[in-house]
Amino acid sequence: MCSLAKLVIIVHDAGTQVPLPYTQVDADGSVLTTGLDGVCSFDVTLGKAVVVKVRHSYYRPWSSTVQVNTERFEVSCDLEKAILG
Amino acid sequence: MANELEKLIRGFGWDVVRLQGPQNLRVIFGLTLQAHPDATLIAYLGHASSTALLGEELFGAGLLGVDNAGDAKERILVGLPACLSAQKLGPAAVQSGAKAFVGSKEEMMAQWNEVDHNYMADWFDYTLTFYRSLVASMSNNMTTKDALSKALNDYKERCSYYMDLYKNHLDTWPNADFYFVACRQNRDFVVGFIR
Repeated sequence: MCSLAKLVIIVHDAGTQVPLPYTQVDADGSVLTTGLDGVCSFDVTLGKAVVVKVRHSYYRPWSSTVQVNTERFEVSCDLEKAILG
Repeated sequence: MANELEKLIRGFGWDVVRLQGPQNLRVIFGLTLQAHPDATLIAYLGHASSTALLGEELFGAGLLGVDNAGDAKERILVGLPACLSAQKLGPAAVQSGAKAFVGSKEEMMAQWNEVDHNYMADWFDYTLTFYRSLVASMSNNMTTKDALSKALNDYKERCSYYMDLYKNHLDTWPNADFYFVACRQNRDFVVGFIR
């Protein structure tokens, strides 16, 4: 029997710290979009390593493997602007 | 990238006058053009809008805008990499007497040196491919039209090469998906205008 954990992804603009809504977050192939608060959450297996990819067309991509080792595991992603302007 | 570009152009035996950082003001740019009436190529790397190359005048009319586009008369003007300038500035510059203009109709994307791959080196390479091709062709007395056409073609082929590379590594490079799209954006919206 596996225990479930909540993987919470919090996305901000690195320059302004403003939450980034409508940002695509992929956790081991499950894809969600952040809400107006820049947050989305996944139910994952406790103790599992999860590959997280955060994508927004105007920001530098954020990719990492995270070890979900608590029942509520928060990951903060600060994205840098990728457009030259 | 500007350092690499300067080295590249000097390698063809051309002189380079470079405006760095705070020197990128309209008044300095204008005086520099007056001091070098024989300048052939204006290469701009930086922030731009649909109507201007902004330089340090981010909230003003810009270094070179649709209102003073005639300052680029008889020159080849390239905004690469720079966003949006092909929307209005490009046509205005050519209508005002510039020999040619190259820039992007859309936002251009930066590429970084990531853990999985050095995407920044690729970005430098495909951008410099454009300038290398253009300057080499002009040094060989090719017409502006032919040189520009060849440079754009070489640039887009190099972008396509990197897009294929990223596509082939989608399973092994975690950021390849994003940079595939970024590279496509930088390829597909770059256009040229010629007088």
